[in-house]
Amino acid sequence: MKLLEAVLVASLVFFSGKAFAAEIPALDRNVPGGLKTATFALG
Amino acid sequence: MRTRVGYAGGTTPDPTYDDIGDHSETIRIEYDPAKITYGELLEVFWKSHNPAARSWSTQYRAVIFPEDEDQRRDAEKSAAEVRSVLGGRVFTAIEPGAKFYPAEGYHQKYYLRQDYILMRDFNGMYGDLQGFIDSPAAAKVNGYLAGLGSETALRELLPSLGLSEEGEKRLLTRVR
Repeated sequence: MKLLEAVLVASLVFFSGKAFAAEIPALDRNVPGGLKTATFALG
Repeated sequence: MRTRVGYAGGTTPDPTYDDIGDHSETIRIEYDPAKITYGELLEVFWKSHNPAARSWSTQYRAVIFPEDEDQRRDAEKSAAEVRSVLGGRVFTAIEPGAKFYPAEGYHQKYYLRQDYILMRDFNGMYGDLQGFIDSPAAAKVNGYLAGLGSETALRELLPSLGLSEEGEKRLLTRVR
């Protein structure tokens, strides 16, 4: 049981660390103002 | 550039995928007019479907939904050019003033949603669904996964997408 707990905790640390290390992409941080919209249906 | 899929062109209030009513499946593009013009978007649109083919259902029609008078004029002009080149009837409709209803979150960024490794990266960047839907990076990755764009262009763009090393390798593998 303790071994299982250790594995689970290690997994959580690994995956959460990976997730929290991610940053908002540069492309998304630099969205200019004055965007326009265009709408289409493509069949 | 941002993209969202949704429904437009009908009268049914608040359409959903299961109750689309008389609306058509639609894409709304949010674009920077300093980088791409509406006319250039129209060119891509005309090349992306067969305007000489009659739509076989309301849900899957080909339609331009101009959002102002300038767009309406450009759309009509481009349709006249296509009609002239084809020498026959163009079935693609032009319907100004349509209201756009965003589709359910699980329909957004369809190709990206099929990839566990890349979705893990985006889940790390965005804790909420709306942030993911609004992400220009997610829109770009979704486009590459759909088979659009070259590997050369992707390699230039890659550092700005915020992907992990594993995510970058995964995307390059999918695009080659």
